[in-house]
Amino acid sequence: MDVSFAITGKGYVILAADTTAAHSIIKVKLDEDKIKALGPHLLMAYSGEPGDTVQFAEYIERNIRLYQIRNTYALRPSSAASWIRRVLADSLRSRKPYAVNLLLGGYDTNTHTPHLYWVDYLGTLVEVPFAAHGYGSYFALSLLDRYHDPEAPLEEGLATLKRCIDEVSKRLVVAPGNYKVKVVDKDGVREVEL
Amino acid sequence: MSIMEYNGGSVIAMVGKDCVAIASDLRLGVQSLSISSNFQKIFPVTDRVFVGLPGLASDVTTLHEQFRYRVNMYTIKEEREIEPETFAQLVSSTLYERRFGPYFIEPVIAGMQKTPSGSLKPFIAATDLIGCLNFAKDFVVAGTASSKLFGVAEGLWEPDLEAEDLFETISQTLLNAVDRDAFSGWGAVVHLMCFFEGSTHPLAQPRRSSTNRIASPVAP
Amino acid sequence: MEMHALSTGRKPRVVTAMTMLKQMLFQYQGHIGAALVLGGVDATGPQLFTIHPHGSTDKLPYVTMGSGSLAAMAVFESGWQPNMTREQALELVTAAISAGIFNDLGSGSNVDACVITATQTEMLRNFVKPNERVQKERSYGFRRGTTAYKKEEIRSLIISEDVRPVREGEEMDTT
Repeated sequence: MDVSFAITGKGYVILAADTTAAHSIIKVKLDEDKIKALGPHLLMAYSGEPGDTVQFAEYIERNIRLYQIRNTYALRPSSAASWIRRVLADSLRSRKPYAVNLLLGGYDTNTHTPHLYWVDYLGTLVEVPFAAHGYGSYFALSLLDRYHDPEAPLEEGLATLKRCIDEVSKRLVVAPGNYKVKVVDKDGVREVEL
Repeated sequence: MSIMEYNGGSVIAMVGKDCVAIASDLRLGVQSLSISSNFQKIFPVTDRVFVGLPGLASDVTTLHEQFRYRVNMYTIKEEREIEPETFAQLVSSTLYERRFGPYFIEPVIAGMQKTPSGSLKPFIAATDLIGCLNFAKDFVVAGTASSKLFGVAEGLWEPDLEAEDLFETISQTLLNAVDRDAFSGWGAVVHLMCFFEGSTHPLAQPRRSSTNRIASPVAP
Repeated sequence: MEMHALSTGRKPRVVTAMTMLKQMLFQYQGHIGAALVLGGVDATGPQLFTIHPHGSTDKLPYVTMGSGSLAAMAVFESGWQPNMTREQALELVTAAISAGIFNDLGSGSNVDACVITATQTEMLRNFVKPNERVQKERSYGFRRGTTAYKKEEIRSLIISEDVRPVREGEEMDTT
């Protein structure tokens, strides 16, 4: 039932994920942070099977951190995405695969470009201008086809994201109440209030 | 729900006179929901070989990485680039390695093969998901629109097409086939390889060479 | 088979090939979906076997396999007789396969045949071609320039080199 969106714009990527933690039909937590900062310029929104998600996200987080400590610099977004995809693809053909879907947003400090990757539990990796996971995708993708602008400044990007969230709240029966929104750009990662 | 149709996508390759073409759509979806209109399914192997990998998107990436690794090892060990037919055998054995837990991909290979006389002749091949090779003389198809591709290609293709005509034939075959397939479409790409007997460059000695032409067609 | 022939120092027998094949197929419990017709001539004379995907075998004077096996067997049942000549046998197998080509939906195109004698094996690839394609009655080719495209990228692999010898007559002595 998780909902997550992401959009790119002029020099930034915005990620948004709902903050509900549910067990079956019961909401057990309303302020769960489902977006992890994997590095100074890399964000990951995760959703999927409860249990798998946090285990997987922490495994990724610590290995990306380990790389940074060993090499004194962080992996670029494309390389990090490639490695994370490989972990999921290998996991898919193991005895107990991780059922985790991801949105990876990063800012490449070498080329000064924002990157957004859509990754699913099968190990599918694709770079996209905007993306969504969960039931929200059925509403958000068509909205973003109409309103997304890769050259939009941050304020406009946040306004577009708000449209998506509002549409989901209006039309989805099991719509989540709250979202956490994070931005990554040349200055690094930060949380923003809508 | 078939795994082969989960992400959608189609590839076709055709032979012409001293030329060969390979083309694919660019869609990536999750069943009927389209996620991307820019998902690459055809990859260069060498300057003269291309491989198309329609099927499960996760395995498209995994196999592309696997082939890149194996071709690099081949190039280092043999100190020469791999020929299309040899690469087709490499694809076949790589897939058969996973006979009882296959990669969900039906590769299509297109390239210009060296002949004993030193010239280049068009080569195409396709395999099923466990690596059974099909060396066709005319065209090969794969992916969710394969049944439609067969029909259109059968009607449009003819022997000894010149490069320009081959481009029209493969483009129209692909475009019209994917328009009737809900899981394929959303843009297309065509790769064309040609062979010239002697170039027209004034300084160059007449010699054998080839050109890769890449074009992204849109529906007319 | 070659290794077996080398280690025993004898010419291999057809039953040996049959046994090795059935043991392998049985090991894979039918997961290797191969149905085989095995024929050959060895020290004990001409032999014919069929081997099923699960590893069971038959030894018969005439055998058929595959989706067209019923059509082919019908021809054998009516036309087979002991001690046929090479020509008679070749004609009969061709008729049997043709029955499959024309009556079974899963079979088609050409007839391959193979004649095995004590001294040699003759592979008759495309022995009969009863389904040759005819010239297309009309060309449906598109006019050049029909397909519109957004982007074109041409990569020329033409290698042009200009060899200009400098200081002629001063080449290194490599004799």
